[in-house]
Amino acid sequence: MLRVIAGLAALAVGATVVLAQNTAAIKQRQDAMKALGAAAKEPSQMAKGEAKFDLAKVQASLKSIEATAIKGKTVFPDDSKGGDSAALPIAFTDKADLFAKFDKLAAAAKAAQAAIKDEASLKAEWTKVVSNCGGCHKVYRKPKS
Amino acid sequence: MRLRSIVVLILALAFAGAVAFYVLTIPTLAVKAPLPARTADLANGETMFHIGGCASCHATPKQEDQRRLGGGLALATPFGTFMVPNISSDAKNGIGAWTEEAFVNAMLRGVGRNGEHLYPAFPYTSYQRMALDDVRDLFAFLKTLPAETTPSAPHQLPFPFNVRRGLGLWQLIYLDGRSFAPDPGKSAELNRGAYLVEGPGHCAECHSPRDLFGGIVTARRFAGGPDAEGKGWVPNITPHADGLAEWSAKDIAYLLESGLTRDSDSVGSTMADVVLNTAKLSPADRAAMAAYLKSLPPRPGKPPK
Repeated sequence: MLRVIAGLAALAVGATVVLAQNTAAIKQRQDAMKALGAAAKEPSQMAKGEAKFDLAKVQASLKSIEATAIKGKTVFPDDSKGGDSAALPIAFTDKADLFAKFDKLAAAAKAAQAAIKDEASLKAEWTKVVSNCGGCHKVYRKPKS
Repeated sequence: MRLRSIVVLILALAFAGAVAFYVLTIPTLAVKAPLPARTADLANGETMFHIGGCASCHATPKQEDQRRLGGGLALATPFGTFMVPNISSDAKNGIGAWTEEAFVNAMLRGVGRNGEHLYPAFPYTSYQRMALDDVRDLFAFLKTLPAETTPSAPHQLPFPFNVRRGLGLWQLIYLDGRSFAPDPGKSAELNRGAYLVEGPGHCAECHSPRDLFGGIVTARRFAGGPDAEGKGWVPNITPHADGLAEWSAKDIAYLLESGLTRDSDSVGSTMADVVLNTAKLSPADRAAMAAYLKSLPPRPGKPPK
């Protein structure tokens, strides 16, 4: 009986841990990732030749990516590692590397603001920014199924 | 008397079985005699290195230089854990002392330097399609990469998968030894794409379901399947509604260049490593791969709910 009570207690504690997730941070994280995806969309279409080149839009996207990458370092608090999230546990144990990768993305987006001036330079420089996405997703995001 | 004849019969059958096993599992070689001398095309070898995805498995883990091929990655599969070997130019622990013929036989027939069968975690079922000269160029290129001194670790496999000789039987079923034959009715671009995807690119090795013995299910080739390491589902890449029907060839080529999907999400997991390689190919090669994928027969295949 004592064992059963202990087991139930452990379950209750476990459930509380799940419930106590910082859902606000998880939401912020998901919004940040969506913002990165949205910012990447139009310049990618331009690089593919599917949309007309528009320097102002590219610059706005790059500024958004730079700002979101910096913000990315604030949306992985330790109390947000459970819950309905695609972030793997290693994202919370290897934050130094994760944050270094956010810094790298921010730096790439900043460098591209200076380097991209026309369609040719967009095609050459844009992948240097977005190629950073996979570096994190490989390690820190649950594979999609 | 009767018991004795039964025993004799059993022994005879066991002997016959052993002989049959021995004969059926003799390694077959692509090249037996020394190859004629040839000047390697190192630029083409580098292209083969990238499309072949060598670094995705063989690069030394926990560092980002794809040219350091010290091995050591552990691949946990349903058959056991494969320890990726060192294929750097080091003479003692890598392939620095291998002959060109030994390398060719490993790539095209799955036979190791000492005549042993290699496990198909090394995707020679695809590499067997490669042109001999492409394999020779790749070998020459690998030899220009730095020597790594980490010794290769043994695989951790349970019986019966630890009996290498048994792989000879597997190869009878899944290895046909045919090199890529271009289709004269198709464009040069489609043939180049087919070669890259089916041969060195070995895309089908992950993007197809496997049967009980670990062979690709032919009827569902490229239609996606469970990840061999149990990490989710590898997508269907045929032009079926379950796969890439809505993707243009440009979308596919751009994914191979940038790692971004059609809706500007990014690929992760092992495909992120693949893109590190395909990003280094020529735009023409990426376009050819995309064109070939769009020409595949559409096959259903989506992750289980």
